[in-house]
Amino acid sequence: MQGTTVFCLDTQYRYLFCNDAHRDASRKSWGAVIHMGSSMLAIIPSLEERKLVQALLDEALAGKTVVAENRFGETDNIWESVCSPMFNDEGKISGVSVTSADVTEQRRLEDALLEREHKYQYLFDNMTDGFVICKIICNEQGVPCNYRILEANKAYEALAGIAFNDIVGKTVLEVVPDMEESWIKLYGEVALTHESRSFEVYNHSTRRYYESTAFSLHNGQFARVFKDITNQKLSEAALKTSEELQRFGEHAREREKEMAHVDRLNTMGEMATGLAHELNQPLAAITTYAGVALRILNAESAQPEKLREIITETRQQALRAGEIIRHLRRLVRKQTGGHVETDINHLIRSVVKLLAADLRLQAVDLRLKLSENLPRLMLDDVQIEQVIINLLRNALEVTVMDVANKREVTIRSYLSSKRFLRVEVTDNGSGMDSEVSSRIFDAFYSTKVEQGMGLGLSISRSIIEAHGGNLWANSEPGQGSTLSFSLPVLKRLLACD
Amino acid sequence: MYFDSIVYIVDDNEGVRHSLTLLVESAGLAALACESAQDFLDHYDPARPGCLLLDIRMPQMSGLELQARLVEDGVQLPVIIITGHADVLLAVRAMKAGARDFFEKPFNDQLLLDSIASAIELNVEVFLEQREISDFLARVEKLSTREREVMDLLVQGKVTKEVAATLGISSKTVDAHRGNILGKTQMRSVYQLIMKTLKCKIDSVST
Repeated sequence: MQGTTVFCLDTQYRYLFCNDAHRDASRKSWGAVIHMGSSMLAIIPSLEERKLVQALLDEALAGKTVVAENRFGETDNIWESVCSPMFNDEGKISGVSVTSADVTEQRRLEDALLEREHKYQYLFDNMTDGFVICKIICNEQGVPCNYRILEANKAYEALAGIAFNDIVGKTVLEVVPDMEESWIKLYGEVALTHESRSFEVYNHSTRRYYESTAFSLHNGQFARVFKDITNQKLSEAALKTSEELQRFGEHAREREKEMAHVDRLNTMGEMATGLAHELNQPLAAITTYAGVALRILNAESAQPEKLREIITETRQQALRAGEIIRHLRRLVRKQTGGHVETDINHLIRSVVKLLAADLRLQAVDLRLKLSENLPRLMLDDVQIEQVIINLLRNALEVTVMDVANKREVTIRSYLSSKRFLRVEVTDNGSGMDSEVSSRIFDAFYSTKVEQGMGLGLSISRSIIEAHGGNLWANSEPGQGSTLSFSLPVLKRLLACD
Repeated sequence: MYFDSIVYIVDDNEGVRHSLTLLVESAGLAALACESAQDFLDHYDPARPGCLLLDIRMPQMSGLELQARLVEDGVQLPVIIITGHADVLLAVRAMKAGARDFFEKPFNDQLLLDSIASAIELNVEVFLEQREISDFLARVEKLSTREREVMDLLVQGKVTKEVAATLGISSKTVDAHRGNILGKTQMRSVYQLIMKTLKCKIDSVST
């Protein structure tokens, strides 16, 4: 920034006076050296500038005071010049006096200010948050009792659903006559204590949630910025609901697991007689073999071959007993092993083994029609085994009702389509009418008179559905029943096969 | 000791069947293992005394059914029931139906052998008695019509004169017939003949 220049010219533009600042500025702008008595126009190199300066000086010489802003020469400085006529004692114009101030910095600040103002205005007009500026009105005791709305942006209009012109310049009590006093008190505190407040409000007339911040401006003014958070609220609520649903689902799954376990224990209880018999077979064989071995040893007749045979057989029987116990322990365990790659025919055969004693007692003719080379499935083998046990036991019980016929139960396994494997358990019993067959999958429904919790088929259906399959019944009175379930075949495993 | 006696083992469990066979054989007895009631019926030899080890729970024909069938057919083979756990009610039914003993699996092998031995002893007795009866009956069958008429009257307690008068023949002829009858039936006296006839419940030809 340069110092203010002052110079005086006569009517012929000749220098009468100039200060050092002017000399300095002339040298910088035009490279000129000033001599008193010489023409000012002569030191301006550019014709254009010369004409401009002359025009200004001429206006002043014509009696007017002229203010102009110019840049000179190669410099960037902006000069605000005031050219005034000078009068002699007779009151005639004797020359012109010029003062020029360097306003470069001032203009830059002003421009920046303006630009900032534009920006804020733009922001104010275009922000999606509602923005309103108000001034607190106090009563005689200096207590806030109302406020006047000074300014509001377009978003405010949209959010509040009130037209601009209906509110700006008015007091809030004019716009909302039943405005609660507590709000006015709150805004009053904000305006007078310079403390910001943020809060959430629900507007009953728009039925939306807003997040609002009130902060103090100056002179008892305050501003409120607020935005509609209804969607955010709703999605939070939805998230919470879905989390709760998920928790509920987990809980339900946990319950289902427990029920499945109860069913397995219950089933084991009902099967206990048969299972004990099944276990007693190898035990009877073992004790008898051991008795025979002792007898041979006591006889002191060396029969090593005989003893070897007996011990081998004993071992086989003990292994068989162990296998039964292992099988039982697996079924009684609370936690199942999760999904493993399984051969469904293997599961069916192992169930048949487990129920062998029951089948014998009931004199059931069991037929297995299992398709070979079925794809292996990813499934919870203990749970699916439980389902097969339930279906088979159901078939045994249903069949008992019909005494006249020879009892037959058939288990089939086959691929019902490229994507589903099916297992069917068919009996030739008395069948079910539609009322019974529609209810057998209900929990606590049982046709058994003596025992049973009526959980088996209901749990079986849950288990199969959890595996992505279906469990259903086909039956007609007198025609026997077929309980079938399907399980999806995974492509990956299909490809492996 | 028990001549031709045989122990039938009927159980559908192979391990039990095989071990029992070895046990019976270790006691010096003949054993025949059968995997079902029908298998037993196919192999049963009425000409040999013995006993039957019978499992109750079996497919097709159960132990109880087989037992009923044997009673129906008049087979006097003693039955020893071997049963799995908690079949006690069935075992009671089997005992009521005439089973000689019952054992719960797993059983004490010595007690089972003792039971088998006593069952066979009894059966051999019965068997011998029956053989005696059937032998006697066979001999009676060989008598002539007249001899049979004379025998019937003697068994009724009639003396020679009464028999002669009843049949209208001489006392001498009756004496000759008596001698033949005792000879053919291998009896030493008329008293023995009477006792034997009563034992064998032979009805007289005339009645």
